[in-house]
Amino acid sequence: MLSVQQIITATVIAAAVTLFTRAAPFVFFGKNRPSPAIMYMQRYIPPMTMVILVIYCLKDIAWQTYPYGFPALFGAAVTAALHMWRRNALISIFAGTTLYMFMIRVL
Amino acid sequence: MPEKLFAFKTTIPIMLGYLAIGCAFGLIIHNAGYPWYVVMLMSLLMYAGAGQYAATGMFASGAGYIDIAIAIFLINSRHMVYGLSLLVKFSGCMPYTPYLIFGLTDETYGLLTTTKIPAMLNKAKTYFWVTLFDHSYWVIGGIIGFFIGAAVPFDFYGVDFALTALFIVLLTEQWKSCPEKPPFILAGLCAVTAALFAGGKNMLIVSFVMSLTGIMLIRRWVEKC
Repeated sequence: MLSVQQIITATVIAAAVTLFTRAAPFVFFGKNRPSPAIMYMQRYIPPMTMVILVIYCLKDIAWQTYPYGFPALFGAAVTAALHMWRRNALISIFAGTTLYMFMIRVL
Repeated sequence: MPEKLFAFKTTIPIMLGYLAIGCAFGLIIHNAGYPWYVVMLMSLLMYAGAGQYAATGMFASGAGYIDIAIAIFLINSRHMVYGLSLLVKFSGCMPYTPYLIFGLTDETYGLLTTTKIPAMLNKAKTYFWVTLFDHSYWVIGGIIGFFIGAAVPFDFYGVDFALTALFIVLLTEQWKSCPEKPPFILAGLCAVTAALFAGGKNMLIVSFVMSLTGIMLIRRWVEKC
């Protein structure tokens, strides 16, 4: 276990590394106009990222054991369906989360 | 200020998720026996959920600074991909740009790339408030968790599903606004493959590397869509 002093040093290092990962593209591409290949790629980064993050959030579910990930799948489906229908982010997220919290308690 | 109000409304789902996950983080630091300002410093300066959890684990095991730096780099390297798609969007946001870059978490990135900002609002200011609100939720959540995490009477178990739901909402928005569908399918296949074979810690970075490689390989096909 590190001491508090060491932890603060480690936190500053970790913060600098985190900032580097966030700032790198701006530092390296900032002044030049990105190439057509980069322009093509960056268009699809947001949609692909959302797919990856949704799957990331669902990856630790125990699919093999009861209730077989049903609360999360049902909560996710309701969120998506409500959002396709009403397109109100707050309603979709509140409904999906409430339903999920209810089901993990009763199932 | 209308930008502030709009930003607050937009970030309410993140408030739920960040307060919950931030709280859990504060509780972990409390249980590890560290003082409260460790939570505040980590949440304020690092501001990276997965990175902070990983760092805490490494503190406990007595890891060296270089090990910590490498681990944090690998965990957060997906952020490089985020910046790449914001080069143009952020270039007109001075003087807020440095802070926007600093605060580019998964959730904030999702909001900034997906939310349609009304034409009457100043974009740079709105981005700034969204980022600042999200950052505040995270820091406040951590401090609350440290002091009263164990004593809160309401059972918040499962409230972090709000972030999963947020990503689902953002995905739905992307699906509606992006006419080409192959990138979605590609990313889905890559992420499932990575989740099955790459293991928890490496799943995100493997997914991003596979998806970015894949999107370049199918460029001709996507551009015809």
